[in-house]
Amino acid sequence: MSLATLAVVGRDGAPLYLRDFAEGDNDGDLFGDEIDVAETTQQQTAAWPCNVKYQFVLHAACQRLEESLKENKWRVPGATGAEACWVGFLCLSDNLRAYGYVTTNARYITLVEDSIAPEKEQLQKARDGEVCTLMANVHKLHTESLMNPFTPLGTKITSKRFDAGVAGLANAFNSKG
Amino acid sequence: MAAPVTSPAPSAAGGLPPPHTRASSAPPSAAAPPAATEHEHVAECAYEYLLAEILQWIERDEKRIAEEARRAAQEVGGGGDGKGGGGDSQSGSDSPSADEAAAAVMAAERSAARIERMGYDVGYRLCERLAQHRPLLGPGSPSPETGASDPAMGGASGGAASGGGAPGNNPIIMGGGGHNTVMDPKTQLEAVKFLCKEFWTEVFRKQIDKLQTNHRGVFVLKDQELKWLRRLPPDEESARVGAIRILAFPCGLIRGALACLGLSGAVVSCDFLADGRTMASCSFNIKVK
Repeated sequence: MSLATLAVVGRDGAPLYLRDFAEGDNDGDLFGDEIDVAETTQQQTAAWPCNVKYQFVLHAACQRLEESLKENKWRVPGATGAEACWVGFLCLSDNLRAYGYVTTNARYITLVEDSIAPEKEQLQKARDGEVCTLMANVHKLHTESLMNPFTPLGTKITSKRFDAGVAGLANAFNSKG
Repeated sequence: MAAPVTSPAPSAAGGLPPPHTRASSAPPSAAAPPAATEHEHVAECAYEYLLAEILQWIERDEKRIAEEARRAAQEVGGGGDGKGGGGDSQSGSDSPSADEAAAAVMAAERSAARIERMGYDVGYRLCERLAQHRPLLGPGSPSPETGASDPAMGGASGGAASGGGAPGNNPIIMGGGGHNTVMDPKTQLEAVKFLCKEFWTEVFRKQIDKLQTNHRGVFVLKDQELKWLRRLPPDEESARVGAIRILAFPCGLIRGALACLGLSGAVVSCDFLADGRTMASCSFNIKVK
């Protein structure tokens, strides 16, 4: 089970960071129409390095996350630290499990490939815990990228250190699974 | 164990005070070695000196900008033949004294605005850093559950000097945010209480002395002994002017911290409450939409 995508979304829903880690083929031809979409995909990946098909799932996950937040039932009472921000499993789509993590200023959504059989609950729980730790670390990295006084607040995250850190975390996560 | 002192390292680009960072008291990533408990010590007065210099620099800078703007305006208006001289500043302006007075007031206002903006930046980032270690929950529905919103301001990691209050470990529940929903007064109060306790402790090593609210979005924060104002000479009118200038920065700090916690439309103003004996007391009025 490997990490497919990571997204950081601002409090008002604006995307701050999208990145995918899967190494599949990067064709934009989702519907088999044989339309030449190579150019748009390149431009898009320059701006937001995330494959479009993951972005669809991210949108669905975002919506589910907002619903959960409005209902306000996701909080585990008495949880501290990273557990307090952990929304958990959002939805399953396209063989990808979406997880949410919410902090004061941003929401973090990850998509992880679904490869654990439904019976193996313990394994799934352990994996979920690892995703939670991963997102807590991403939160730390994000806070640190904000510490730079020259980054404007509330805009796209362009810090190379953040990029490198996230890549490192993703590799560590994938190598464990 | 000596408490970590907040200290800025001088920024190379000048001008903008870098955000306060706790000197190595929090390892930046999970992989950092646990030996990061050694604190660096910096004198507290360092920031007072820096702030004083910043204020002077901004005043000089604004005067320079106002001068240049005035000169440019006179060049455009006074010399249509392109010969508008730089040294011709006296002639050609209708009422030099009124102009200068207006320009001076303008420069003072702009300086205050600039300092307040700096404070906003610093406050926002500092609050983000503090909220990281005591996780404030992000946008939920506007009304928090009653069970979890009691003022148990416990910290998840090594509770700081939170003084009174139940030493629970509950994270502070914040509501609101997201699509500009207005936070309900209860969560607004929680946010301001966090500001008064944790945030103020981080910056000034003490808490706000008095907090009043009308439960409708207006808060008054009173500090009897603001550290930065302690050195003002008592009973002088110039002290008042100086104090207002200094207080612009904490106004910005408060506004930035509130924005980080979700109250983005706050208007913060300050009042200098000193009498002859205690020159350092002041109050901040927060008005939230």
